[in-house]
Amino acid sequence: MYQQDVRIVTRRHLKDSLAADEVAQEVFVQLFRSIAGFRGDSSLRTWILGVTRNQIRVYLRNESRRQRRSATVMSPELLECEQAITDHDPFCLDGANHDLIALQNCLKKLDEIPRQVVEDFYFNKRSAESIATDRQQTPSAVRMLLMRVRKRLGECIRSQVNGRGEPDQ
Amino acid sequence: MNSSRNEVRLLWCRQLSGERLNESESQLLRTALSEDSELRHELSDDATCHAILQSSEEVTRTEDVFVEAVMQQVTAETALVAADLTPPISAVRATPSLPGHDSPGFPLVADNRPRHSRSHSRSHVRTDGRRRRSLQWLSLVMTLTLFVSIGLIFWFQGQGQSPVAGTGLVPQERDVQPRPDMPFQGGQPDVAEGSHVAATGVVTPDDGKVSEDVDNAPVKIATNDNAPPLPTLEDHPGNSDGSEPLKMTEETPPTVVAQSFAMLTKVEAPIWERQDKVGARLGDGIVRLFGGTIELTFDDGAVVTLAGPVEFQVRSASLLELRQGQLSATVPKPAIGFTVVTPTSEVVDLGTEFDVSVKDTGASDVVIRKGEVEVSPGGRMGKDIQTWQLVPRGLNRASFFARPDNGQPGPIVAKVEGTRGQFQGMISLDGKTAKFRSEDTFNNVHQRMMTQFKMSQQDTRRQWQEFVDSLQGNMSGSMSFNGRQMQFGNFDEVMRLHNQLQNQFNANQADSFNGSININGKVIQFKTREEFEAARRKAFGPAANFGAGDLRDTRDGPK
Repeated sequence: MYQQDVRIVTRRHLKDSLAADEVAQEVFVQLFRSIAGFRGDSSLRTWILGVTRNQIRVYLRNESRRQRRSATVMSPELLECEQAITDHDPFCLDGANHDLIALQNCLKKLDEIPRQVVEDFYFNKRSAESIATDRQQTPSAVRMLLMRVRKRLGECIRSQVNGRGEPDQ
Repeated sequence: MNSSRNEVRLLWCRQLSGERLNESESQLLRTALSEDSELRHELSDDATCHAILQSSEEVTRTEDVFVEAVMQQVTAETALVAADLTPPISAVRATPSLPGHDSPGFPLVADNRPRHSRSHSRSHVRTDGRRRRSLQWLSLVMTLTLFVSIGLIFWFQGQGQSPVAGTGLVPQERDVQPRPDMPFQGGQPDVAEGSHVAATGVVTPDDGKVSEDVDNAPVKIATNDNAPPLPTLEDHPGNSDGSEPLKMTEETPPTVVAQSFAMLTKVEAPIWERQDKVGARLGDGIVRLFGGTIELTFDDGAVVTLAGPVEFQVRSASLLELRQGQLSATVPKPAIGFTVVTPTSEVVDLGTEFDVSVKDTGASDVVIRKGEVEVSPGGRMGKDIQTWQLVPRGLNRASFFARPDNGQPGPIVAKVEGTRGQFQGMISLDGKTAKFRSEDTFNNVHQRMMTQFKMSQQDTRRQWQEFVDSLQGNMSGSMSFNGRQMQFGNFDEVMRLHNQLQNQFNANQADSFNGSININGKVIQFKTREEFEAARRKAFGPAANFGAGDLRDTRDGPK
């Protein structure tokens, strides 16, 4: 339960997917150890994500000590100042599995070019430089396009998960 | 405001796509994110969406393996505690464990876990030999199934039918090998309520399309490795818009043909994120091998063996980028010119066998075993600065030192050594290069250079320029120090002289400073330490900054 939620949250903060899964595994081991301490003050999911964030902090702190800050998408300092945002759980109101399903719907509604760029970058694992060469654009233009697409997808996912229908694309 | 936000967004995008920002760019991003809350919210949402996109396929596809790995750790912990506490633990022990976790190709098995957990698991595995043996049998059966599947694929190819129709891709083994979650289908305990997603995409050899396995009722998302990457959406309560499920294989076949330049010709106990087997082709993506050994045969003929942990990228049929780790290359004559680039060096083969290793700092070493290679510092200007030929019986190993990790162009430092004590060193900054034949001198200058560079880049750059220029001048003469006469004829000897003085000073044997420096016929007297320092700087000029530095600085070690 909540496997996807925890793994997406860890991957959100750690660039290396293996490290992210390592932390996620540790989260579940921690949960196993401390499940007796769950008093039900918050939802189980909120509690699990709290444990997840703590585990990420522990990992980043240890990594910082090992001078491996480059492994993080966001530096530990940013993680701290960003806590308020991560705590409010941007999309995952009902669980990551809903997000993932909503994502499929939203991807389907993208125009051909942005969808192809997303596929190339995220699913075919091509670099922005490689995509830019094919499309005769600069890598920066491709990265900014990806950012715009992510924003649109984010709005779409949020609206689907909240059950308000989908925004116009 | 908008333009600066766009600048920050661009930096953010670069960082998100894996690029490394330099110090000033990171600082700019940090400042903007801490000061601009609106932008911070925007980028935070962006990071979440990025994570969901990155994870969408893999998190679902590897769920079983992930759950299994966690179960293994938890079970291991339970087993440890069970030695003392039986009743509560027995219930946990009764939790069905998942089979197949020792099979190759599972990326999230024990070795990826934290060390302390790993050791727990190991002790558990040791105590469970029978289960392990049964798993090995299972692995064997899976491997046989894999070979049969490969045979079927080739048979279908022989019949003129493409298993992956319309993609333009040569089918790879990963397209047909058993998926990590296959063994669990039907027998898997429902440990992930509402999120247990089993992969059901099955490749049919005749049309390559994804079909659904209707026997697996709890399936929500069907994914398949060889299908275009978007998972197929099946009926789901959340899919209330009545739209058709996404069928990427039918509607949008991939148009991009992945480039590949080398073939996997040997694989031994690999631990990596991939599932490639012998015969698979590697393209231009970054490959991380955490353990085990693989052998690559490049299309041009070069054979490269890489032992994990190693991170590399095959860039072309004759170019490999080694980011970290070590490799051994055997290059036949037709492949002469095969090149290995590292963060600090470039190795061009001239028909040979050689080893290259790269540390996590980027520092690299090259050792020639047979034939000849040309080595030079990495980067665009590397070959202009220095090129060495390595041969087994002459200069046969080269070391390229790590560069400062601050995004700014730093000193390029390298040395080559031979079997009979031959030595050549080189330090270059801003196009000014000093070359050394004495290892001691090289080490002294290098140490002082790096220490100063950390303190002030600007001063170091200026002093280095003066230093290299000063080396062109004549440095012959003598020094009288507390009644002792010392001769010098070049920079190396000045350095030796300095080291002697430094040793005396460190041993508190130089209480008085009385003497003179005679250089090129000019005599400079000194009676105090301050006068000695002034005389030394006047005599040796800028060379004193890097070579014979201030004695007061060195007594307490580099600052």
